Parts: sequence; C-alpha cells; structure tokens
Amino acid sequence: MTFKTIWRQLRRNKLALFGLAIVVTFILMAIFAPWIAPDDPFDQNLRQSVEAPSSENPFGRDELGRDILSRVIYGSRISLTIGLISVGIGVAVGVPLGAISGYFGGIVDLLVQRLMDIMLAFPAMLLAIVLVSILGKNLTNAMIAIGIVSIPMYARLVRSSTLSIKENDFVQASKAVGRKDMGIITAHILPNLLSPIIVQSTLQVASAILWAAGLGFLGLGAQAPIPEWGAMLASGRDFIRHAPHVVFFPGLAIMITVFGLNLLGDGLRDALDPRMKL
Amino acid sequence: MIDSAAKDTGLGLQNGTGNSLLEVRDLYKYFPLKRGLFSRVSKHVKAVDGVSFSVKEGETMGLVGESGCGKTTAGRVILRLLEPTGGAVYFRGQNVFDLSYEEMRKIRRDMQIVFQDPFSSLSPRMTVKDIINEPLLVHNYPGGKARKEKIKELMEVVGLSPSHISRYPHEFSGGQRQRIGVARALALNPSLIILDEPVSALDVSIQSQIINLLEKLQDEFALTYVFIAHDLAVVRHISDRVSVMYLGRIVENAPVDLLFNEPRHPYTKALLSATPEPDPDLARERIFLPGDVPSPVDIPSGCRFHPRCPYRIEICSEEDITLFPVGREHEVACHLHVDDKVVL
Repeated sequence: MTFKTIWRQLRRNKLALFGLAIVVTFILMAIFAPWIAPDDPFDQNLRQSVEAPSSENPFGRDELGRDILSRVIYGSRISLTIGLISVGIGVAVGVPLGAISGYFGGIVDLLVQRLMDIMLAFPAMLLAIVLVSILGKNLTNAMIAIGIVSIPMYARLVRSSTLSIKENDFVQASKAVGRKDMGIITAHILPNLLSPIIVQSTLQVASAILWAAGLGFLGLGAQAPIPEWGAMLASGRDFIRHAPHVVFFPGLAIMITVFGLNLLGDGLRDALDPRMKL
Repeated sequence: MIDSAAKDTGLGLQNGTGNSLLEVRDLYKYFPLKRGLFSRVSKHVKAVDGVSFSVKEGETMGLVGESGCGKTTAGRVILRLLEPTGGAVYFRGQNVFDLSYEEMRKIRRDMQIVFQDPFSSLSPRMTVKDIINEPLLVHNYPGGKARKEKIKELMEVVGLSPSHISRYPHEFSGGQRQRIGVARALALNPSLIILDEPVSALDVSIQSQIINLLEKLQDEFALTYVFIAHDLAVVRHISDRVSVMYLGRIVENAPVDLLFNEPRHPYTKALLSATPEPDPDLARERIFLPGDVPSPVDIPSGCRFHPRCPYRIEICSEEDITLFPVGREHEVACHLHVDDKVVL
C-alpha cells in the first residue's frame, strides 16, 4: 500500500482531513513558535498577574503575569514532543513484545506477560515517578519513563489481537509455504494489527501529555519556567475560581490536539484498511 | 515407528501397492487438555488415533468422515503444520517427521494445501499479487518482471482475470477467492496438494466449477490429491480411492466404486444410506445411527464404533480392531468381516 493510495483514501474522509489540519496546525505552531508568539513566554509582569483576556493579551496572563497565548504556543513544542516520543517508545517496544508473545506462546508468552503484569501491578504514575527518580529529573527522562509505562498496554493489546489473527488459515498457508516465523509476523500479523495500534496510540498521546503534566507538577518533568501545557494546567489550578482562563487555554490546547489526533487516527485506520475502500 | 526394511521397500502397506507418493503410517495426534491450577495434563483429545493410508502418484484419495472425526487434523499433521504425537509420514520414501526445519522448508514446495474457508485463508490486507507472490518470494523465484508474469500466468491457469492482480480478497466472490487459494498452492509446482474441504464453504453451482478446475489442474500438472470432505457425492466424483474416517481412525478403505457399491463397514453403510437419492421411486434401506459421536477424549473400548453400531456382536465392545484386507485393495476394520479376511 503506497502513500499515494492512503492519501487518496484519506482525502475522501472530511473528518480525517479536519483532524489532519488540526495536527498540522499545531506542528507548524510548534516549529514557528518564535515568529508567531506575540510576546516572550518567560517575561514576567507581576502587576498584571492573572489578568483576564483582553485585546492586548487574547488569552490573558498567568499568575506571574506572563502572556498565556505565547506560553501555549511555545508549550506546543514540548507537549507534542512528549506525546510523540513517549508513544513512539511504547509502540516500538510494546508491539514487538506483544506480537512475539502472542505468536509463539508457551514459555516466551509466560515470561513476557508476567513481566508486563509486574509493570501493571504498580499504578502508572507511581512507576513513572520511580523511573524518573532513577533516571534523573529532566524532561527527556520523563518522556522515556512515560514511554516505558505505556509498554504493557501495547504488549497486552497486541498480544490479544495476535492470538486471534494467528488462528486464521492465511497464517497456516504461509507456514505451509515455508515462510519463517519472523516473516509471518511481519507480513501477516503486523499489518492486521494496525487498526488497534492506531486507535490506542491516538488516545495514548493525550494520556502522555497529561502524565507529563503530572510529573511536571511533582517537579519531575518540565521544570519551571519552561512552558508546557500540563505544567500550566497544574500551576493554574489554584486560580481556577477567580481566574479560570489560566487553566482554560492550556486545557483547550490539549483537548483540541487530542481531538485532532483522534479524528486523524480514525481516518488513518480506515484508509489503511483495504476493506473500507470507498 | 517403522523398521528400515519396510522403509526401503516403500512398504506396500495394506493394499499391497508400491510406488506411493505419500504414505502415512500409524499417525497419532493428541491435544492435551490442561486443567487446574498447575496446568496438569489430565486427558487428551485423541484427534488422530492411529491413521494409516497411502496415496499413489497421480491419484486422488478421498478422506471422508463427519465433523470432528480428525480428518482436517490429519491433513495438517501430514504437512507438519501441527507437530505429530506419533507415527510417520513418508513423502517420496522420506519420513518428513525426521526432517530438520530447513529441510522441511525445502520440501514444502512439493506439498501444498488448499483450505476450506476462502475468507480466513487469504489475508485481507494483501492484494492477489502479494498472496500468490508469497510462495515465490519464500523460495527465491526470480524477481521483477519474470515473477509478475508468473503470477499472471497462475491467475489465468485457475480462471482469474490477470487484470485483477491488484485487487484485494474482499473484492472477490467465495469461488474466486478459492481460486486464489488454489493459485497460491500451485505456485511452486507441487506434486501433492491436500485439499481440506475445498468446496464445502461454496454454493453448489460454484462447487462444480471448482471441482472441474481441480480435475483440469490434476491432468495438466500431474498432481496428486488428498481430498478431505464430508460430502459423499463430491468425493465419489473426484476420488480414485476413498478412506472413511470415524473418531480419529480409518474404518474402511477401498477404490471408489467398490466402496460405494459394496460397503462393508456398518458406518460406511450408514453414511451412504444418508446421502440423498435423486430417484424417488428407488426404495432403499436407511440406517439410522443412534446417539451422537462419542467424545474423542473418552474413546469407547473395543471397536470405537460399537455403541452406535446396529449390527454389533459381543466381541465388538471388548476387542479393538484395526484395518485388515478383505479383498484386493479393500480394507475394513470390523469384527463382522473377520471371516472374510484375505492374505495378499
């Protein structure tokens, strides 16, 4: 399946195009932040603390009097990176583990799944905190920790899908033709796993951004004064009663990103499925 | 297992013929039933419980029996898609169970399979080209243009339009999908194809088309078939010889006309009496079997058919019985026919 045929499918799906537009907008926003942002995101102006949105500051100012619009724009750089990198780690490790575990079964399956059980036994947040404490407190390590925490979810999802896919006769046919196990996994199992992986990943980006916010809140993720959507939410929490705009705009940014990714993800899932050809 | 002397002679087996392409000797396949906290293996599903038969080059052997009798499992164990519990399968005189993984991969180009379900046997995410290409790819058929030509040629051979090469399986009907499956099996020029109920998922009108295609291909490429089915009319049409399977074992084996005209085993008789007869005036004796097929976990003692057999005698529940010859190329496993036993 070539890029061209996928694009042709995707183009017919208006919602997916809308999602794609949102995602592309945020990516462009992240890349060109210094040129778009009206103000310096680090510039404090305590006399204008938690000032409501106005024509001068469309999103208002936060508790330290910084321009929220600029911080949201700069924040997209970090938040998008967190989402993509940690999901990337989860997919890159979790999918092969799950596929191998489900395909081979037996002792391999037992070992992989018990390892995943151990990871799942800890609350995800707690495990991430432990990992960051071990690796060292910074944003990169927070991304790695969130990626690692999401591995068991992929491993389990992929394993269960693999179990049902490998029962198909086309897997037996491939075996009958003499294909090696790894060839069967890459040619037959993985392509049929695409749909659940895409759906899980688009949702996981949102969770990753929020987990990163949680870690930031505990001082383990993005360190102040770096603008990051989750951290902005966390610090603005105290003013939610008399200055809701401080949490509203970063929250809106997260929501729109996730919304866009979900629309795009659903569209991609359909575009990649030959059975959905219009 | 088998001694080397028997192996050298090709072992004419029960029907006393040499030059067999495929010989199955005492094939067993048990599936463990795991139970309890520590996955203790308490019992086994005896899917294939001592099956022996041989197939001559160019012949079609029908393997019939009702659902769950182990015929599909037998087919898959012969190709080592499932590992056997015991027994031997000689393909051109070589025991395929002795082969290493690499040797097995090489021999697979010579023995192929066509599956029953035309939906689950083709990956929904591959085009016809990719599907037929797979065996060629695995066995390093020259790539590029030559390979594409080969794929188109195969499509034509099985009656598909080569212009549909980039289509996906869901764009085809059941019969066309089955043709794709046949093309895939044919790609490496095998000598043996195991047809695992290749037409039972299809409409009757399509069934005959596929059967005709299979017969045409057999002539054209000198193929040997093991035709697994439960439809006796189809089996009668296509087979040269028929083995009847009941609960993991073959109970009767004979050339097709002999089996249909002079069945010996009560189970074969019952099966034949259950097929619809086109002539309504033709009076027939129908044999109704009481009860259901026993579970392959607890196989009855003695002759495994005795609880349902309308003609059973005392010895049937006490002594097990295996195939013995009752005529040229005719074997049966039944206590009622012990007196007819012949020495060949």
